[in-house]
Amino acid sequence: MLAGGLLSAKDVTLDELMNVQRRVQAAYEPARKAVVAIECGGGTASGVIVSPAGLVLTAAHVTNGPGKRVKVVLWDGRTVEAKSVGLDETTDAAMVQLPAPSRAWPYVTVNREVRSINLGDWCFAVGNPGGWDAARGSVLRVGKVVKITSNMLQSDCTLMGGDSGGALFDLSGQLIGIHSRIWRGLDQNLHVSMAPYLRSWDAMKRGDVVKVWARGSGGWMGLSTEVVDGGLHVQAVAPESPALKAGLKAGDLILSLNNKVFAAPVEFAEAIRNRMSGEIVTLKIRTGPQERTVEVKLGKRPEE
Amino acid sequence: MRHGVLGILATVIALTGVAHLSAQDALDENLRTNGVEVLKAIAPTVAKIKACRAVLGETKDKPVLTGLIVSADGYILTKWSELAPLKKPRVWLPDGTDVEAKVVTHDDKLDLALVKIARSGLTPVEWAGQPVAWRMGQWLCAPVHDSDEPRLGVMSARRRPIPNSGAVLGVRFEPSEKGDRGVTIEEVAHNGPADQAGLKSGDVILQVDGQTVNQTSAVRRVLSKLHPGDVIKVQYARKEKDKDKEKEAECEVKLGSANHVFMNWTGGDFANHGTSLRTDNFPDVIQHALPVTPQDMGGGLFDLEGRALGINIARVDRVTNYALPAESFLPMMQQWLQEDRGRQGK
Repeated sequence: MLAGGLLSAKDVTLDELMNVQRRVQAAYEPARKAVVAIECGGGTASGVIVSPAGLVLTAAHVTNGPGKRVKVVLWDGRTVEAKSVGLDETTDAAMVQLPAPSRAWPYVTVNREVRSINLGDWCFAVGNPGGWDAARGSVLRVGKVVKITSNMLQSDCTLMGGDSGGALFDLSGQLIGIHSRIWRGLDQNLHVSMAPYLRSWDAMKRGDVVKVWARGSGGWMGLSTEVVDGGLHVQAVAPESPALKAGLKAGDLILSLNNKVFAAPVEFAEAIRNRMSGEIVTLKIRTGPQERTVEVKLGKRPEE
Repeated sequence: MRHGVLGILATVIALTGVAHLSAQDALDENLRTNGVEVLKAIAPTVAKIKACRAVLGETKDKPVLTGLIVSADGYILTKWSELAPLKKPRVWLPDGTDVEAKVVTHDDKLDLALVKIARSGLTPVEWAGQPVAWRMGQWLCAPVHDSDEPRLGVMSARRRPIPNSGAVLGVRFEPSEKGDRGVTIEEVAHNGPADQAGLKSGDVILQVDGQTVNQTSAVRRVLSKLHPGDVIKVQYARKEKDKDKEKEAECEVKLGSANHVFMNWTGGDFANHGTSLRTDNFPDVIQHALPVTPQDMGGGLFDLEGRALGINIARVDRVTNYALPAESFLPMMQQWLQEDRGRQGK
């Protein structure tokens, strides 16, 4: 994944572009029927149905908390009352539950292999920019995955207000992202990846608000960092965490993990998450003028 | 006016998120959807599209719109509403030279104009056979005014008419009462038509397009007969500083479309990268999501083989552009050409 850039460059051919078009057009037809508009709190946004029973994935800044009534507009213009359930405060992931269907809601499949997505993969976005427009319907955009982090994807499928909570698909029509936010550039469109949803699926579905350092899979150290010259600066250490037990304190500087230097907190966090709980890692730490190495036994993310 | 949820507040968070990423996490610019490596796949098309692209404006450093060269003998099709205000329009050709442009004729309904330049031997556009089988998700490409490479994207929403939202001054009036002289401006839309003409809150509008207005309903009545892009005279009274005196003056206001003005009321175009003055009142449009700007409107819309399918007519917002399908204007354009050549022949 990190070996992107020019290393994976291959010549794009007209055939490849036409193949992308064929696959998008085939996948779009069923996909668009699962994309909905969500009206709540005076704003309009989007969502996508991921089960025949009517579980909807959307963005946390759309629902703004569990247990709220929202109006959902289906692809064909029908409206239903639904209820927001859980969300993940740290990644902008959230869920909404539609009422029991008379038969089955149209839905899309979640791509559960988050790591199968590569930089430069073609993808397509569906959503309701500007809110629901019956004459127009939902809006399709085709582009590429241009950045990948542990919880987010960035694509050059251009998004705007109202798209929030809408769906990013791979070319097979499986869901890989939920539209979250934008920056000014037309290729600066961010999507929550499926990772935070899959990590906290049951908790979010039953209406929990998932917070920092809360449950999840993979290794856990229990500290937050920010980047400074020469390393990562420890900002906070969680109570009863492996980091605290190993004697780490706020203000320590992390120089390396298993002799690997990290340029960004997201890379460090991902390296921890990618290890199993129980694994012992070696940190090189600087406290004031003194350097030392510390062994930390990674733990499991606590349930609460 | 309803606003979507994804907005400026959320995007401030996005900036800090992006800042933490190191370069190796990102796909090289050249490999992105509109990167040079991808556009190499359609290299013959790139050259073809460039050959029939013209850029229009008054000075080279301020291009206003794009045009489509439709004949070897110097006829260019372009968007009317942004061409109309140009006093001395010029055309910049693919070979880098420029020449004076003469407006032959125009059509308000489709917002198209035909321009003639004193040149021959130009490479005209090749039209795709009609009718085009339009389908969501089909690749489209279009020239831009500031690069030799076109932009790539797809047909992104249903083909449909765009209803008229009306022409506006871009002001909110104080409630009017019987017996008032004129109507008082309470608020001016940032960078809207009235703002650009120099009108300010507190100004009392006395006449719009030659009609005396003492009620806001009278202003609405006058505007209902006009179109976005029309330039009208507005007479107004302004209180002078530290005086009880009023000064009457007149200005020219270029009307905007209600849709455009209301969506951009507070200004601060954060992420749209500009929008066209007229974005509605079209009988039949194709919607696409190519990353283009208002100055690229009036250029052709092409398939990947470089055959023209239509003409770009409005940049609406960050994700929305409208194009007119060729079949909606080709018969009219052919007639324009025939008539003008007939006039030249006499």
